[in-house]
Amino acid sequence: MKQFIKRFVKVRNTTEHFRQSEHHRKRDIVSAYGFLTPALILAILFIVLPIILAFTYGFTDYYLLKPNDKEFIGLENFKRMMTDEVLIQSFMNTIKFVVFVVPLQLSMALGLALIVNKKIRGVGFFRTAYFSPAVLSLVVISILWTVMLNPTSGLINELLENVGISKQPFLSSASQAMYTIIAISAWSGCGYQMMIFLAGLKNIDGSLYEAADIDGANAFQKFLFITIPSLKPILMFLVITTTIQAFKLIVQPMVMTGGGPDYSTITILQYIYEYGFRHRNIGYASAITLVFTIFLVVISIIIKKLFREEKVA
Amino acid sequence: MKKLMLFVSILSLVFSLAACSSDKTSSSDKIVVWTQAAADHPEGKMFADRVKSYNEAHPDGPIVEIQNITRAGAGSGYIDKLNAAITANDMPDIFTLDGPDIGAYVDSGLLGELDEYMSEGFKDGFTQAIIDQGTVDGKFYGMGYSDSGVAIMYNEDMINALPEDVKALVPSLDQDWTWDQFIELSRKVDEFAKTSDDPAYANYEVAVSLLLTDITAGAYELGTYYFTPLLWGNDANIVAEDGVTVDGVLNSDKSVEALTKYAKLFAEPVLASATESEKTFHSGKSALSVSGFWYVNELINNYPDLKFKTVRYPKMSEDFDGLYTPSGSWAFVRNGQEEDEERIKQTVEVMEWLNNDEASKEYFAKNGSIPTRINSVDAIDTNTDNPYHNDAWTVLKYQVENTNKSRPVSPGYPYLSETFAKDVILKIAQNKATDEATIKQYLDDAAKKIELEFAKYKK
Repeated sequence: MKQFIKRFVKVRNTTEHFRQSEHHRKRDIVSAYGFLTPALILAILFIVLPIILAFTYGFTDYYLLKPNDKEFIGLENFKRMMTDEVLIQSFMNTIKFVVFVVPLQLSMALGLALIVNKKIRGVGFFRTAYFSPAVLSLVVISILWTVMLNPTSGLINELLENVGISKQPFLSSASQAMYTIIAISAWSGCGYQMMIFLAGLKNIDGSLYEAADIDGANAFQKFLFITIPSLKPILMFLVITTTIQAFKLIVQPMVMTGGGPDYSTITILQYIYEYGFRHRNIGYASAITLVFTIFLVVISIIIKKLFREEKVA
Repeated sequence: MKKLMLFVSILSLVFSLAACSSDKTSSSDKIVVWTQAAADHPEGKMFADRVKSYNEAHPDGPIVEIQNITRAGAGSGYIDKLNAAITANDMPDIFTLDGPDIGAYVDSGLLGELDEYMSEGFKDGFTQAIIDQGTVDGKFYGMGYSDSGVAIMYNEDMINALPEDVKALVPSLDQDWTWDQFIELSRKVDEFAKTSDDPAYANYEVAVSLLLTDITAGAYELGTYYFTPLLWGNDANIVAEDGVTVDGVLNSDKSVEALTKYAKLFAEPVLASATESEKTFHSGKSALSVSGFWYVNELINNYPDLKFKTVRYPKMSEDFDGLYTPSGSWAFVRNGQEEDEERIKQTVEVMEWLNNDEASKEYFAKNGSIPTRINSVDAIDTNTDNPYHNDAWTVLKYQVENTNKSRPVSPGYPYLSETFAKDVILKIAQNKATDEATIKQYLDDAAKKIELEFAKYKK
């Protein structure tokens, strides 16, 4: 923090106006702390404090209805996690979601960006249409799809029947539910990423494509050797943000399946919420949160490292 | 500049602390009541009217102030705020709780008992199911302000289209019937629907609407409320009398037997679905429905073209002569952390006002809430100009007076209810599991999970 403040003051002091006395420097330090204070307070209250509390509660038997009756129980909560089959399944479901949704969503977004980047008539309409799911509430999207995917009377099954495909259970089948949620999530999230890809595509120097044309490169080669390398920084940014976002999956399964059927769509966040608030077992929910936070930190470090290597390369 | 920065910092700190601090609602000259009903909902309005009349009738007493904290679904929102108040040691004087939750709050020492503060004979004025719902270890804690009921409704047009011999399977509204008979009728309806081109069956989707989609949507208690009676009617239960023993009870032979009969609904060709479409019964897509009492007003007000008839909830075993129909609802309880005797007396006096015979009648008139007071059950009007209303309330009134049973009292009820609804009732429907061995396995797994969770209550 001190280093940050010093740097702030140093930057300001490089200007002619502020290169003055010791008095000015002190005044600047006070100003800097003043500007930082509101954000610091909020960060401490809503980020640092909850993390510390979750860390401490994870070692207690904190029950929401007995807030003054917490007892230290050591590693009991963590031992329980090892044998909690639903927890393990919720973890695996979350991983499954991330592994499938990130590449699917990004490739859909890139595909759409390439389409709407063409100079064709009505492209503005398609840009708006593809982007529109990104501005809708996830709850609304989930409810709409739940109705459309109804196994007996849903629109999707009506359409499938019309083309000779038998009705599918979708969200009511343990083997199909998670893939259905993955598809819907990729669809609803790709519009936003499409816009970022589109911005990247617009920034690619047209002379590169002209040179490739002269060299006789076909469309695929231009995509592979010009478009993709030019989009790499954007791609890496989107991989990081989409992965982190995907780990936070909770709304779609809560609204569409309630975590079922047979716990096939329950995710870690939903499990934490249900244990903490529905079953009031804050101690156990905190222990899971703690382990999951550490897991996410490790994942973030790995991605960050990959990103760094990419920059060096 | 320096002063400005200092001012901004202090202001931020004050705002942050203010946001985190609790709003102290109780004060000596005011009794605060929290309810889960929205202020603009008929239930919220009826409480507001009742509180207003109390304040008018007691100008010298403490002012009663009602605060409506809207709940979502199974009670979230309201319960979250209540839990936050408990954590902040800032509970209101009186608040509402769903009947089965009373056990958990008593176990945590949050509710105050009422017996010694109530007027002479006041407790005896409640129906037995409501007394049972509010009683933990022999002490009374919760005054249920409304009861509830579940019956079977059928679409009159769809039943009238059936052959005479099938129509004869439908009981009259004053007749008991069994689950086997219910299944048999459902099967005949389904067979007819698949071969008939009668216009009443134009939208047919499934024989019976069970509302299992509510369980998927998180309203777990609805599944338990609707279907625990299958076990009760077979002399079984989901938890032992002590409220914490599940193994050997939930997975008993009688439970397996009852749920195997329930599972017949999902044997091919299926008679009910875990994924029925929205308002299946209301929109003529199913001929039969397991229906909560709230259907009566909903259908009459919003589906005037639907001709619905009502019959009793089926018994699982014909020979069973105990209580078996679902009942219970939200109740008023008092803050158990209040120690001032005078204030407790005032609080209980307000609770009596909110729950006396007159209030019970008012609530039925305004909201269709089934009265919880013996002397008020007659307020249920079965002589209106709407025959469907009359039939439905005749059945529900009979069940309230004769067969209603309170849900189990258990400190871990939310977990018990959720696991039973999700891991047993819904799972059977989703997997179309109809064989005894699989159902036994589901019950064993559920019992094991609940026992693990309930271990903390046995320490």
